[in-house]
Amino acid sequence: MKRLFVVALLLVLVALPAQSVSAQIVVNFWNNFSGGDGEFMSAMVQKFNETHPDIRVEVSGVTWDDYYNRLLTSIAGGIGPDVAIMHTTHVPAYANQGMLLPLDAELASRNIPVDDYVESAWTGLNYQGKQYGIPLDVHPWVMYYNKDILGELGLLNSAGEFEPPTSPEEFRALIDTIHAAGHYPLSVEYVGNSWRGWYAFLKQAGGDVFVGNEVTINSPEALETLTFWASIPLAYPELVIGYDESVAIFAQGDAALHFNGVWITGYFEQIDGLNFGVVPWPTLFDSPAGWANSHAFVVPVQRGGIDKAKMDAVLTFVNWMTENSYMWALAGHIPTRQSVLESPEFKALPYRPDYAAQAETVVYLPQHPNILEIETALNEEVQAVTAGVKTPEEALKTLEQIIGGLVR
Amino acid sequence: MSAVRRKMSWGRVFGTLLMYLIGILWVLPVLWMVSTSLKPESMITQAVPRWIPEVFTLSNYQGVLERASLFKWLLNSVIVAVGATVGVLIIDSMAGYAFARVNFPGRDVLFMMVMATLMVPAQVTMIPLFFMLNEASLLNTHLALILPRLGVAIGVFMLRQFFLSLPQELEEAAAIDGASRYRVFAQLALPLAKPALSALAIVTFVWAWNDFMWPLIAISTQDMYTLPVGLSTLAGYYGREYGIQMAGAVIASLPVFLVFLVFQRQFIQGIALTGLKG
Amino acid sequence: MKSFRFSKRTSDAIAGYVLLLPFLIVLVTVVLYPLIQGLYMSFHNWGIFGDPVYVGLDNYRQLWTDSNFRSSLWHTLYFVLLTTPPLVILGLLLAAGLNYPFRGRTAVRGMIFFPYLLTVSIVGIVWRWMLQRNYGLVNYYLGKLGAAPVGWLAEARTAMPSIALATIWWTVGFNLVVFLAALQDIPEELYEAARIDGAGPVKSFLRITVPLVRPTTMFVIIMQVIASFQVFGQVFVMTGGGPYGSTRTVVQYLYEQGFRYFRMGYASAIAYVLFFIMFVLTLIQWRIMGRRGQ
Repeated sequence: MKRLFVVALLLVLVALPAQSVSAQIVVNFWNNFSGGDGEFMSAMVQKFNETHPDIRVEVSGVTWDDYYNRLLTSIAGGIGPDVAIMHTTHVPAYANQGMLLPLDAELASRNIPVDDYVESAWTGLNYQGKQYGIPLDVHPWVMYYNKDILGELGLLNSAGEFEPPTSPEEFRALIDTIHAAGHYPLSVEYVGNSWRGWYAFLKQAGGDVFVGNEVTINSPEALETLTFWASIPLAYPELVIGYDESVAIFAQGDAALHFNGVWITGYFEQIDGLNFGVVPWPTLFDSPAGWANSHAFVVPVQRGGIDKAKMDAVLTFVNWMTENSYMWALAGHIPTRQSVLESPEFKALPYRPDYAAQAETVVYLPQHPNILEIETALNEEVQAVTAGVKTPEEALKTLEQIIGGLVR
Repeated sequence: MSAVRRKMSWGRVFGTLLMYLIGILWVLPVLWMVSTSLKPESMITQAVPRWIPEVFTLSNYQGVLERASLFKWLLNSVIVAVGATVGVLIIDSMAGYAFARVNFPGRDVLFMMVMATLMVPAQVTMIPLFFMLNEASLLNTHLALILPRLGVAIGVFMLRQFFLSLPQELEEAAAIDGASRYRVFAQLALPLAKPALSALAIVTFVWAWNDFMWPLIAISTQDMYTLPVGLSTLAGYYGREYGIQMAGAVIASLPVFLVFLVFQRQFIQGIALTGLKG
Repeated sequence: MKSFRFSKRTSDAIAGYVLLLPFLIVLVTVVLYPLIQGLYMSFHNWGIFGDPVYVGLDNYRQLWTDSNFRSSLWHTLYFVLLTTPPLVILGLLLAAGLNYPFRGRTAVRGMIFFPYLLTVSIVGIVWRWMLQRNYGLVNYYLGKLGAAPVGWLAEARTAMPSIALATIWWTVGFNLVVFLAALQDIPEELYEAARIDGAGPVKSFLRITVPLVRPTTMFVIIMQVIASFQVFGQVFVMTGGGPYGSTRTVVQYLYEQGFRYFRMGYASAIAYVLFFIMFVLTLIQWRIMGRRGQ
């Protein structure tokens, strides 16, 4: 890393004298990537800076917990970054408050290849008719499986791959089988964001959290899928663990199955002796659907506005990043540019092309300025159910009340 | 008589041992924090915890110093705490003296109003303050963190009590000699107020240093964090890396610990004084 | 009857105002004006940018039916009940224990007091680490004593008590010091007399110490309750309000509504309700203190 930095520095120093006419434009870039993700992102930014001597992108990383609070305070103060990473789900709330710049005019005047982006990812950032961001990746929840354990139990097909179950009964039977054989069947962050798994099944069964202004969460589909989702942790309480532990157990080779986002692929790949595979989120109910969120580049509103030169730099940066998002795919994420998805290098990557196909059927939470609070409510109620503290009926009733108030 | 005395001394011995035990118990978390910070990451999550690390390493300290702007945070905390303390000492002593000694119309009503503000929890003013400072472009500055601390009225109360307790003769004599009220304040009353002032200084410094919620709200960039807020982000960033978190915590506690070793008596007197006067 | 006065009565009065002015200006700016502004905001839907919309008492009406707000009040009350008795009683007992000279007394006093000087994040980080279910120190020793591992911060049942435990360790030093000062005001003769009458340490503690420190005890209790009601830092760092919102306190709810969901008007209403609660508690304190002739 350090050598790379010195090289980059030298390159910049060499390039600088050559730039006698135009001064270097500094672009302030905020993101909340840490750990493995953070390193991949830093590498990409570095490469951009090396190949674009007239622009210098300065990265500021803020931790996961604090990121949106910081962003809020700085944008409110008019001293926000020039460009920032934001989850697609957060965009309506920020756009609604007037904190983000609509990009339609800027994009049109600069020939940004809008059509190259995966449509669902692109339109997810369109709020009330205006485009507020450019997607960098889609990161769905998928199912990881341990080839050694499943192979031992004779659950792999002739190609040595795992074919996921196609009904809730089949899935439950699978878990019971693995558990009876003495293995840890499924590691998932029940003390955490496991609501995402349930949400996928809810959508598969044809239900939803709310539609327009109407809250639809207290439905038969919701009850059926939530009861199913909770049946496993309730039957095996030792499975109720947090995120870090769920990753650790699978990484150590002890868990047969693992639910998590695609972002952890890069981490698992680095572990010696972990023989694993990835399949898209299993379709257990009527139609395929899997939870996903996506990262997008957004441009916060700033005091005094952004001048044309700076906007040019920002969009050049963003365009380059998505064009080269093959590097980001190394971390495990799914790029949003068709050209990248269809490139031979991406297709040659392990695992990723398998779940990239899922990008078509992923479901996001519906757009709403209050979606963050809705997500919190979903998170807390589902956790209460999987911990055995509430019944699915009670949780759905509470959710109906809370979400009803938020979407009215 | 001697039987009673013997019973007493056994009780005393037991009591003393108990106090030693409690003291040690109280210090254990701090010791554990230091111990963990000196272990390599791979040895931290062990089934059998060891107090003395099998392998000593400074890699956690290296890690936290490389990756976090710990010294910047420390500097920010120092600037804010010192600024708040100096500011409070000056304006509170002036106000306290005025309330104690000077007869001016509306004095009692004003004092009641000032005392009433003690009832206002900090959170009530945080949101409006946020907007106010935003308008004045003062968010994310040291001033934003110092200003609210200057409005805490406890110092005014303490100093008024103190000045009231001073005998008036000296001031009377000075008045007769033609000294102005300002001179009497600055050259007579203030020097006598050292005990109250140092108590106020200590308490203000500690409260400003440890303030968490307001800096969390008012500061948006990493380089302006104070130590408490910066440390809390460390916990989120390195969720699984306890060694680094502990190293950060040790570094952050070191200045306080050293100051405490030297000034323990003053700290305790200061707190006690606030408690008794409050 | 020499009534001395400085040069002229009016110029002395002016001097009074001048001395008072800096503090008064600050007070108006950072306390009084925001106080009123906050009330004004609570009658509006107030976002980050854009114009606020007047909604009258709607925010308060909504708070009345807001189940999350109500549960945050319960959680806060639970925390107050978990921390106040131990902090007061332990503070007094420890002070009594330290009230007679013995070797190393200053050191012990320092060891118990020192945590008070640590910032809340350090307390949160260290205790979170110690209370880890699988590799935490506390569960290890519990195991040695034959007890089953406790979920501590990971289970709703034990999460708030865990936070209370950390808080007690952190702040009992303050109460200890206040009580110690009060105890030292009690004349030694009273204890002598009791000893001569054959009273043991427990009896003289209950019959002499406790009644005589009553004013201080009242003060400590009220201070403790008021401070506990405003708890934020430890909860934020140790559980973030979890598991599933079971440790979310009023102040955290305020923080989230304002700074996570941009509902500044609603958050201001929450702040005012908190203010009202504090107001009532402080009135009670003053009434009790006044009665004791303090």
